[in-house]
Amino acid sequence: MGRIAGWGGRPLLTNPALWAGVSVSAIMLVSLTNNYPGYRAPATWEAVLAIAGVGLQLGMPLVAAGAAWATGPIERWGRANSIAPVRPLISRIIRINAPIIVFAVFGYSTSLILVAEATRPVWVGPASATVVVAYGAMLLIFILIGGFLGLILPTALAVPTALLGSYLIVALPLVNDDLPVIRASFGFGLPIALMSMDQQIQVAAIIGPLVVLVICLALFILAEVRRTLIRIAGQLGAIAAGVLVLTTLAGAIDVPPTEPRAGAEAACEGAHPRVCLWPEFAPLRDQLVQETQLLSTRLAAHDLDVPTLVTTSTMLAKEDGAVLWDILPDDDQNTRTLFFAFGYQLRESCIDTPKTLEQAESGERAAFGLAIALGANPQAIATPGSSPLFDTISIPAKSDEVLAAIGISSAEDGFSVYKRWREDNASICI
Amino acid sequence: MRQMASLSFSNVTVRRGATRRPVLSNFSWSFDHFPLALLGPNGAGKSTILHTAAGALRPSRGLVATIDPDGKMIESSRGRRRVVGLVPQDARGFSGLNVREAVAYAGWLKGLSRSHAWDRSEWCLERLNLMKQARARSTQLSGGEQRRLSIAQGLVADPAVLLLDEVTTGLDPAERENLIAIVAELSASKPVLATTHEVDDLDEVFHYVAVLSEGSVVYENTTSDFFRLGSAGRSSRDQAATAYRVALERPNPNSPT
Repeated sequence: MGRIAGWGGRPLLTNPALWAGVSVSAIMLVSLTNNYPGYRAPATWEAVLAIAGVGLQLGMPLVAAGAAWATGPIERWGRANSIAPVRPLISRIIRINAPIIVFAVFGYSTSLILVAEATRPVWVGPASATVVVAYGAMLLIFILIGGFLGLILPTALAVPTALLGSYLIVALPLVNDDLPVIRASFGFGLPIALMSMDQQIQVAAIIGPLVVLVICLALFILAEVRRTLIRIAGQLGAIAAGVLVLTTLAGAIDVPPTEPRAGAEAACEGAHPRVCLWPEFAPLRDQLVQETQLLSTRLAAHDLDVPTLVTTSTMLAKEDGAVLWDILPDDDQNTRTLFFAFGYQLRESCIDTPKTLEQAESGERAAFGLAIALGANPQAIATPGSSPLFDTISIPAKSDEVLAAIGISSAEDGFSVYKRWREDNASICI
Repeated sequence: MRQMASLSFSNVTVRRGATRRPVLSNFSWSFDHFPLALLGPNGAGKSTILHTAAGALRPSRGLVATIDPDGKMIESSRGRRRVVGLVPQDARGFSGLNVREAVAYAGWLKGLSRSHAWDRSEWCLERLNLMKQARARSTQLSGGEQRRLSIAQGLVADPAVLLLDEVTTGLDPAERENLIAIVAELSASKPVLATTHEVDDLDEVFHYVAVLSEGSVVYENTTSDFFRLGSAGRSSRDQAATAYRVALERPNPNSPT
């Protein structure tokens, strides 16, 4: 079996698709280590897939540009030689851009393995596989669009157009939350969707890239239809159908494109408080139940209500008197105590009531004050950037600086600050 | 039963250029005698006929069909692309591809598998006397070699009909003679339709001659009959030139009387 000039008829080393592919692979891995040092991720497979794909966002413009650059010249060569191809357009684009596809798959798979290795995720069912499919679709969309631009425009126009288009697709949903349809369509909601184990990616966000991919494929097939009117009518029809489906999908998507995970998955234990945790916390279950009992005892000792339920599930936390404990399996005890205080403060803060900046800041002081009063180390929970309260503290934080920033004189004083906030807050709750 | 392939045009209109000027307008003809030389002045529509037959140009109306050697009529553009091989006038190589790769890639575009295209490329290069240049850069060939490469690209997918668009134009006499010999050899085994302006050695290759004028075929007959039109000429060159002029001046059979 012979060879046909590297991949897609172009010698391998001079094929821009190869270098775009190598670069996108590197970008995926570098962005993974920069954005997620140690790949600290919620230990679900969906989250692993989402985080491993973070480099796609940065690599996509490069993929599109490389695809355009690689595809255009050889297709124009075919036209100049009047070689009317029998092979479908889609087959030619995929063949020429094979290096990008191969390296992007390599980069993504490697990222996936690194995150999975670091987080030891728990399999959460077939939903995890759908995220992979959505990512695959997302990857192909950009390669196909880039390749198509390369076919219809000279390289000098195709490359900047692909870069600009990719940039806009990435940037628009970031600057305007009213554009969830773009985020859903191109899969850009996926990498940021799962920063909490309590959330799962909405079905619409999974389907979005698949719909766009189908539209792309339909447009490529229609691009080869000979009759102009049929072609134009078909393309308009394909776009209209796609927009209709995407708009419907977008209507079902909140921002961010996640929804609370079903509470039924959580396993419950204990009575007062009842503790309901995700299966991923199974190895820590006894320790966490003990910890909540200790925290509850401290609350009771200072005349604060003991919650009826402490849970990692937003759905279950809707129960009256429940505390949402938004923690991850690898959080340390200080962080867990802080998030317990946040959940405790949240259930009393009547979140639907609009608040002034001062009132919001007062709530923040109350939560941090309560966390320190419950035993959290001030230096461990306060870092510049973690809250506006700590913007002026030194690095590393000094304990008295943190207390001063929160407005408490000692750890015990945290309870008083919390109680004062609760009284003030009760008056503003409708 | 296998028979000779043919190309048929029925009320075909083809527009070209930015102004969408019709180069062929309601053109109807059936080319079914080969090897055939298609003559005609510049702008008569010779290249347009070839490109349309090969599926490289889209007619704005009308029907173009190819009958393959098995007698099957192929009307779709995609089908014609598969069975018609076109060798254009202004072929060029692709930077980065060597000669064999350029032929194999053309075969892949025509739907052959990678391995089949690669094997066929070797066969084509042998027939076109290009084996010595197989590893040479496809952009650094002489004019004659470039034309032979282009014929190899047209031949690689084993087309039912081979269309040659002025492939001998601009070549030096030796290379031209070489190419004519190759085309003559090819035409013995495959239907060949070629456009040309060079009429003096038509009888070395072609058994039939058609003359196109202003988008219509005004003459089609055997080459010997064509030469008889110019019997007053002193040499075969004069004869051919005279015959060409006479054929062009004949009344257009498609025009209303």
